[in-house]
Amino acid sequence: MTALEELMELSREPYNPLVKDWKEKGGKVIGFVCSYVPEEILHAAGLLPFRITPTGCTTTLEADAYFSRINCTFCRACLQMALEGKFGFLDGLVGINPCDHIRRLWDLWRLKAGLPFMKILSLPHRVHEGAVEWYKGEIQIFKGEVEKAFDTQINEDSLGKSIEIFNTSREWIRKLYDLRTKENPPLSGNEVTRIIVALLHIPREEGNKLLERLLNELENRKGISDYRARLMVAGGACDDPEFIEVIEKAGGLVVTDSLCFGSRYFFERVKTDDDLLRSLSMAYLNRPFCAGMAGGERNRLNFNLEMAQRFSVNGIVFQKIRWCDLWGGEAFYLGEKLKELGIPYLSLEREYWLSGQEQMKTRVQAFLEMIGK
Amino acid sequence: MTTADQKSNILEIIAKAYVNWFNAAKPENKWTLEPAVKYFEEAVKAREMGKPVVWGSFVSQPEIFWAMDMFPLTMENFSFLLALLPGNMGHKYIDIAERHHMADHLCSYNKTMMGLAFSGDIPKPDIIVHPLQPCDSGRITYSNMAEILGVPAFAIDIPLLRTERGYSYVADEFERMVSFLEEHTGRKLTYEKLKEAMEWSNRAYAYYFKADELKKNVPCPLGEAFIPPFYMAGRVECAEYAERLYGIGQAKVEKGEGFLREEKIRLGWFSTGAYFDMGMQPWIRKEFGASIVHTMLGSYPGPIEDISTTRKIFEGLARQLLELPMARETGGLAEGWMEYAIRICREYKLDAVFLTLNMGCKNAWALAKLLKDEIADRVGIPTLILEMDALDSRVVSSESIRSAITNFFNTILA
Repeated sequence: MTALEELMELSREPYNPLVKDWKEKGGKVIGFVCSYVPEEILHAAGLLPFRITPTGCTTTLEADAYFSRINCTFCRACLQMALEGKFGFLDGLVGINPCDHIRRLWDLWRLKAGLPFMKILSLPHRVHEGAVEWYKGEIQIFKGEVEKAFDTQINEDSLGKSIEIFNTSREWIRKLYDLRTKENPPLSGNEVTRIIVALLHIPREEGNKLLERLLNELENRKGISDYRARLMVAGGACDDPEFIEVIEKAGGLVVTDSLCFGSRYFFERVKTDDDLLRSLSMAYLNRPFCAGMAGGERNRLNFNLEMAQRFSVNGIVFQKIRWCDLWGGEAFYLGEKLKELGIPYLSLEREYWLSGQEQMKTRVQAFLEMIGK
Repeated sequence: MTTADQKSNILEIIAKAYVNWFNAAKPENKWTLEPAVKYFEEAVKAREMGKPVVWGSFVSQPEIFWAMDMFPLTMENFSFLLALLPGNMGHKYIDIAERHHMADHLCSYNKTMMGLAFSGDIPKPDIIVHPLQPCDSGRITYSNMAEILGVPAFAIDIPLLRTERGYSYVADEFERMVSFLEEHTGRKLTYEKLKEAMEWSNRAYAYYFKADELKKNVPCPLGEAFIPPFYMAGRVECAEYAERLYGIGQAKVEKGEGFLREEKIRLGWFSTGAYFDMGMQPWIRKEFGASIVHTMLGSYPGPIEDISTTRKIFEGLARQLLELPMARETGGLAEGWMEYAIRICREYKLDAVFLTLNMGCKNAWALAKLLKDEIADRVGIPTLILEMDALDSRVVSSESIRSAITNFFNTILA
């Protein structure tokens, strides 16, 4: 099997063979929902950090007994699968508060399903020097909690090594994205989404080996030329490759993104030449901002513009899950600014699970026609 | 009479509305409106008087602004007042916001204020200061608004948990905020001015708190407070109002009298109400003999204990900030609201609870069922959960809300 085939396979089911193997060997798996959770701490403790994606969930009947219809379907789907026991392979959950929905997911999961290890971090919602110190403190407390719960020690050496492993992932992903700047990129957006989802669900060492192999394989892979326009996808959490596929089936090739399951997650390297906990805090907070960071409009706009230019995109497709206020605000702001700058922009609202594909495809096709592609 | 079609300075419209309400009020009730009449008269003239105008949220504290001779305007207050005006002027601004592609699912308080900002019907502020609580909708709206208006803004970061470390972080945020204000206004905060504002604020909060404690009596001696401290604390009028309110309540308790002649039900309203229908609460009282003993937005924390230094004041304000109405309930984790709700149900001897949840209120909606079950299990009283919008009467009509309330009361009184 090629590395690409392996990664595609691993992306299909969260509880994939590598996770099963890890568990069978006595390893512990700790879930987390948001990219602001410092995975390196978990890794340094010998745990498998696992970014939760409620893949395959299409109804939330039980979860909706607690959540309401005006709550995010990503969170409702996570709770649904937790209530069904589909995350039973997790040994713990690390919570955080990037938004109201995820904060309440934490509450409801904790109170109605539960897992043996459950700790939450208090994320700053404004990035400044004081926030870096605050979050460093949070990470320090969290480190102590992990050490105590799993009877382990996370020292400078082990943490430094974990950071290097995750930095390696970041470096490989950057190289992967560099290939997408070509006129004929070797990978579709659908494939890249699957690669990233797979990476977030397997031991990172294995992921890095697969990435290295993949980059070698891609040197000989024929580039994609059959597309009408080069597009960038921006917005809130989007781990669904089928959503990207709808865009691509309409003729748009997704060559880059500004997503927390994409560039915003991977692009910032953690320094290892200083106080490691502070370096983690600095890197995680100074990534291109989530919409949850107050005053981050210009930061996000500049990142979007930089990515759009670097990847020679013809237009930006913004997407968000219905009821998300933070990305709703961003949709409004970004739309106004891109209009002023004359950059073609399409805003799509969706549920976590794919629905209304034909309407969405029609809208993308209309967008491509509008931009003359 | 002001209507939705008039284009005018909203500050002047609201100021005139208060004067009209004051003139129409019975002599014995005029005192309840005097502080707001004075406040809005000053608001209209603030710029002319050379005061920097600061827009802020209702889950915040104005004392520092008063101490720096600035003029704070609470934007949610405008959203609320516009919904009260004939023709529900709020609708106009909600529609403006949505026409500008503001997400329709954002809170109507935030849509109204954004529409107001877009319309130009209110002069732009000099600064925006907003704590990052109690919800996503407020967080993103103020942030967007600052960018769209091109106004310098400071967001006070709020930690998730109520811990000493968290309070210290917020106190540090106040220090950073003051530096920001000094840089952008050229004004300096002095301890003496801050202490003076805090003394008046503490007096107000002390009497509000004591008035609230009186409501534990059966029958409940007081109705709603009209002058909330979130934009008035630090002003003399607010302290005098709170003291007078407490005095009225105390006198009733001494006579064994209630606000209602006959109190049949003691109700806790643990959410925002349908403010576009100000007749609803009097109707509930009259129709069902229900005393509205506790409301989310009408119950305030106590004063700050130590105002001996600027830092101590900031530390006290930090604690108080996280205990302000709505932050107290919907900030933090679920247990915060649940334990607070249970305590209120017990101490105020409630018979029933309303959760008339605003459509924009995502994090409250996610806890509604848990809260209802917890109250039923531990206190044994029923909760009415009702979907509505606090300001936009087009979402769920007043008639529908009243119908649901009637059914609820008929069931529990049967």
